[in-house]
Amino acid sequence: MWAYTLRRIALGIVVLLGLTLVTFLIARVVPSDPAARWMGPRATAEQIGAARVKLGLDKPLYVQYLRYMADMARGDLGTSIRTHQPVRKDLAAMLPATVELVVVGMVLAVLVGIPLGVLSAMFRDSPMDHLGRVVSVTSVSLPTFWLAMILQLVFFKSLGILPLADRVDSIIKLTYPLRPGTGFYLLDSLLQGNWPFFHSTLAHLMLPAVTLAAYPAGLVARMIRSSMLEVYQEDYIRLGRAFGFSESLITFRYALRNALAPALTVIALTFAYSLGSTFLVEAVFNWPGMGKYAADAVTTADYPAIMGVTIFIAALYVALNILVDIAQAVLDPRVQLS
Amino acid sequence: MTTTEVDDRGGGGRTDQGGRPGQGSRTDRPSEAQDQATRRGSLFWVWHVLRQNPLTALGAAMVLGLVLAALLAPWLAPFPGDGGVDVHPKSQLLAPSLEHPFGTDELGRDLFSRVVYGARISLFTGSLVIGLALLIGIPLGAAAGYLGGFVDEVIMRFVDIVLSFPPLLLATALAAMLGSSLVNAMIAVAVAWWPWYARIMRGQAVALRERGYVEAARAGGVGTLRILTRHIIANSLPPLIVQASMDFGSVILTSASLSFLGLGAQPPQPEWGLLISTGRTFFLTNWWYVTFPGLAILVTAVAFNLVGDGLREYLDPRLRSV
Amino acid sequence: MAEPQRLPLLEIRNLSLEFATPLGPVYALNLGGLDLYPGEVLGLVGESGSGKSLTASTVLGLLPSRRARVTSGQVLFDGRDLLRATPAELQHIRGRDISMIFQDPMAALNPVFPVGEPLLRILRLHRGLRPAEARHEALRILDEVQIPDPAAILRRYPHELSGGQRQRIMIAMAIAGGPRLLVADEPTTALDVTVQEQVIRLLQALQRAHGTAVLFITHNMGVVARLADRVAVMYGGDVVEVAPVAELFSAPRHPYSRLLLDAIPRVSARRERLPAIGGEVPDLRRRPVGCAFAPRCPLVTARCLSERPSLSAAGARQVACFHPLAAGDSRTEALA
Repeated sequence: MWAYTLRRIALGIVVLLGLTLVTFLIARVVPSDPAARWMGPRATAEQIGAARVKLGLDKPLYVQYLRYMADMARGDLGTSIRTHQPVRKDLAAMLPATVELVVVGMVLAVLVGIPLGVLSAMFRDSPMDHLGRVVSVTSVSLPTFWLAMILQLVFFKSLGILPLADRVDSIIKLTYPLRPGTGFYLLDSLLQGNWPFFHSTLAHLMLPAVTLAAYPAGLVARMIRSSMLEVYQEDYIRLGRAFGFSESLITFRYALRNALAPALTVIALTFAYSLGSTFLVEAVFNWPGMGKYAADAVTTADYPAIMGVTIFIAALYVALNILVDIAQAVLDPRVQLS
Repeated sequence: MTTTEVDDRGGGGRTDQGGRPGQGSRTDRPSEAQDQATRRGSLFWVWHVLRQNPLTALGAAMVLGLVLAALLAPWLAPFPGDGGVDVHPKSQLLAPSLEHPFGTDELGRDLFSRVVYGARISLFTGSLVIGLALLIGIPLGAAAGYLGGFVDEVIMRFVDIVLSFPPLLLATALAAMLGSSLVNAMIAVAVAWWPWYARIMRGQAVALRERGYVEAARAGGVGTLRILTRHIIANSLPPLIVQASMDFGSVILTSASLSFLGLGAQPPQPEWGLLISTGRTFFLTNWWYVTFPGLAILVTAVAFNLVGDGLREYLDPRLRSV
Repeated sequence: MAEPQRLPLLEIRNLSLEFATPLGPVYALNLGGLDLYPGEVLGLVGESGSGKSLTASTVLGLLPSRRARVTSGQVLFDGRDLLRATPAELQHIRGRDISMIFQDPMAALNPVFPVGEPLLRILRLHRGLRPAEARHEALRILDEVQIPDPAAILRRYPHELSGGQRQRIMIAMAIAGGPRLLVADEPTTALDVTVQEQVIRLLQALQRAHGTAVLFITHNMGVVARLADRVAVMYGGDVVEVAPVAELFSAPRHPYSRLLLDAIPRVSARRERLPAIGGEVPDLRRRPVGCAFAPRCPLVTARCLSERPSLSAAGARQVACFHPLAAGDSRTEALA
């Protein structure tokens, strides 16, 4: 088990090194001059030349890469043009909001997706299955940013039961302030017993989390369905029937566990994928997280911030993949052998 | 620990299916029948799949409808000029009516006409992105699989690395660095997408490398490039085409997302993602502005995903034989 | 030994089963009749594709695919029709009154659970034991199937055991509910030759100790000769001959049985698979009009092609043939 874990981590480090190379190439080789971008549109040629030296752009490419790597190793992701803060500091401040949103969204996705997929498979080709498939195909086909607005129209404009945007009501924030804590509003307000704050956070979290969950939920349902159908054909499932186990025992105790192992990869991938698509959700809901930070960076051409977010999320993605592989080895003891 | 076969992707839940003689009486015959069906040609199967799976048939019909709408846009759109820069100051932001089924935008243009013209952009973008991704992925995958060794290592590690970015994120970062335009957005999406095709192509090349006719060609002194194009790539196209058609929905969604962020299509192009982005300013008071372009994206993605699902079910023998 | 006057434990009557395919139905089983008496071991033999395993699965109500459909017939267990039993009734019978040994224990044991899990569940489900009692009983049964260190084995995963151990676990599960009928679907086919021998001995010992009736499906005529009381020969989805094992071996009456026995190499009759017999396996896409074996039969006559022979009794033996072979029949030369 430990050997497997170590090997998997070593592989992850190789991929991480590769990631820095790709982001470096995107940032430096793409046909636009980083020095000109750095100085802004009104800079003179001399100013740009000075910036070139200051940024080390006059050095050979491999020296630039080594410097870039050294910066990375120190956790230096550059300085944002827009906020004039180190990107790392910005990201650290934004991270809890995004993680809170993504975690709640993923829990929703799994809670909806797994039962939907299992029921579809269990009642294959029944109306239940058709409905399940229509729901899951629709949910993977929804444009995230559009769903966000439609939910706002329905739940804010028409029904008036949920807030439009933001992370917490601004009045509540002033009247029931939250003491600094983990940065996860739900957790902090719960720990501090600040119920108005907790309630407001929860209400604000609802629509973004549902929006974020739609795609992964559909994907998980599809994956679980096909994975369950495959498992249902295995001899060890026929064996359960041959020994008089009930269908629900076979499905939920035995087949689901076999089907879950391959589905886990997809769940983790979509988890990471939703990290990538949070900026669409956060932009629409004005959610003060990394996604909104990235979306703002994109619209203001804040290149260091864009690359910083990209490499940070990609690194998170790699780390998640490693965790999944290890979890899979625990779920299915045969994996370690390969 | 005893020796055990575990499938090479390390995925759980699957046991070795080989080495089980004598089960013929259980399953052999239906598959013989299927073999014969296969011999009857692919048209028979297309018909069979569509008849068996109404959802796939629905998806195919929707795809056909979309293609027709895109082709016939000038005749289908009640106000063909509204696909472009026409401005009608007297009919700004009108709610849906018989004259304007999807309402009008802030410049008074008919949204229905713009959405119909948008189908052209989306289908064109989708095809071009996938074409470009195939164009990058096929040669690299073929080289990796056929040549093997060091070339294979380098190319496939690079593929792994590109795949460790969430595709939307990589496409966004690239598009942002390249500068906002529809062409740059398409390049960015293609660059995030090609590794999937390189992987499939490599798998095919590895399998085909040892085939008799390839070995014969090699022994007969046929050049590597010619073997790759004439034998390896030509014979790998079917699975690649299938995968590509399954990806169509996701590619259209991703491209629309880039346009929504302002990185893709630019005004006055009636691109659906851009329409929603523009409509966002007015959407709380003019619900139709974002609703209909979004529905168009949804319908397109559903159509291609339904067809993709049908293809996958048909191609996966484990799901087909049951 | 079977006593014809006793009531059969299992009776299969006019069982027809089809597979739906894109090209129309495939008529996989068309079984006129088959009886199994309490305590007897009935060998079911035939080439692959003859419908042996399909018959076994159908007895348990486990159709191999969603495309399979029973179109007519009865499977009476203790006088009760299993094909018309409710799912709840079937759950009650399976594993307790009837159980099954699968062909390939590696495929039949769930890879992500310790092998003790299903065994303990069977004991709790069908014998109503509490967890501690079930564990105690499981250890006793594992001991009975000659597994060393049973307590440790219970916690092992299938891939950690040898092929022989896995099949012993299967057998332990099969006998755990105390069944009256055991369906063994080629229980030795997937095993190494040396392990096969041990498993056959174990099955023999267990059958004698418990007096369980066994429907033993196999390719292997050598195994049949050792284990079975009677043998049923299947061809093209139907039983063509039933006879006490010694009589079948010494004087087969159906031409197909004769060819089947001749196909065993003389030198080592044991452990040999049945080599293929000349001619083609019947095309099951058409419902046969006459005798299914007619197209391959050297003794075929016009009647065989137009009329279907049914299984008719002659003493302890039954044969479905218009021109059965007699002892010392001169026509056997034609078959050689």
